Amino acid sequence: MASTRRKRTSRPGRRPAAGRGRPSLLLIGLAAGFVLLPALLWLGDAVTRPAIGGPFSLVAGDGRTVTDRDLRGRFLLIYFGYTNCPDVCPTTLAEVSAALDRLGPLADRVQPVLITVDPERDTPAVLAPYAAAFSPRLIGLTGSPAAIADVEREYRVYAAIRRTGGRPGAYSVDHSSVLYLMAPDGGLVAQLPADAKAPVLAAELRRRIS
Amino acid sequence: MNRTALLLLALAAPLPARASISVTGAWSPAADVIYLTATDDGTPDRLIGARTEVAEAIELYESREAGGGTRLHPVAALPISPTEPLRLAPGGSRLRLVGLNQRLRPGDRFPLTLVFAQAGEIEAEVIVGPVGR
Repeated sequence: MASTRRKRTSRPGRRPAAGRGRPSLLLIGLAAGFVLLPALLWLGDAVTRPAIGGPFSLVAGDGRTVTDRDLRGRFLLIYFGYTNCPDVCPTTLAEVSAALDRLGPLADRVQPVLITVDPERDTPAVLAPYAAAFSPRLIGLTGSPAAIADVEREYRVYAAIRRTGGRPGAYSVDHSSVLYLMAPDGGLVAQLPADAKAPVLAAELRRRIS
Repeated sequence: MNRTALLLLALAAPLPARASISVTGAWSPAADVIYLTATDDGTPDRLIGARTEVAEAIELYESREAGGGTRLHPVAALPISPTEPLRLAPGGSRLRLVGLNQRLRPGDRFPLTLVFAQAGEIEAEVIVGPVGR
């Protein structure tokens, strides 16, 4: 790094010429920028990698295929849950719906999405009325177990079956509970807490999508 | 048995207790669980069971704080008293439906029978809906 040191003058009382200090500071700044900027970019990349998100090809309530590309152009607020979820999912989805209602016209910029962590039981026919009951805005996506496993991995979602009885359908799904806010170009904007109440969630969204 | 005897027998039977327990807002989030609020105007009591036609059985689960989190434990009874209403809500104590025999869809309604140790059987209607009532 280039640097200049102002020599301490041995002559007391002498002051440097008015313009002399500033050009050196400018030089320092420029030089530092040229060296530090690439360093910061490299560091930033290391901190955010591996990126959360990624391509997916899932099935909506009406049976049509929906990919991540189909949803570009708006912010996405994605929640991973399932219909047989006793408390976390219904409360989170209710708060998301209420938060979007608070946003007024801004809400049109955000597409809420529920991706199921229980593709075996959450068929499109099951998911559609469940999502609609929370909000007409909410779309529910399901898919093959492989497609769901892929998107869970891309979003680093934890999901595990917990048996609750003897019969085949007797299980619940333990899962991580996070709201993923994705930008219109598909990149992650923020992970928001799924237990946030509607006013807080609305404020967080407003701040980021305005 | 002659009619007089029957009449006397009927009159001698104890009058039904005034229903002191009222149940409001019984709902299910389309999952194998029922939430509700019950208040008790009379003597302290206990919910000791429940049944419904949409499931084989109903289990009572109590939520207890333990080491920084809450855990659910199956229990034989849930207390209720005039000062402590019974509040079953997401994140807390609940009724768990075992062996659901139909898919619950938002908007569905089904009858629920709650059994209290003192108050006996109380009927309620459960509404299936996204959240709350």
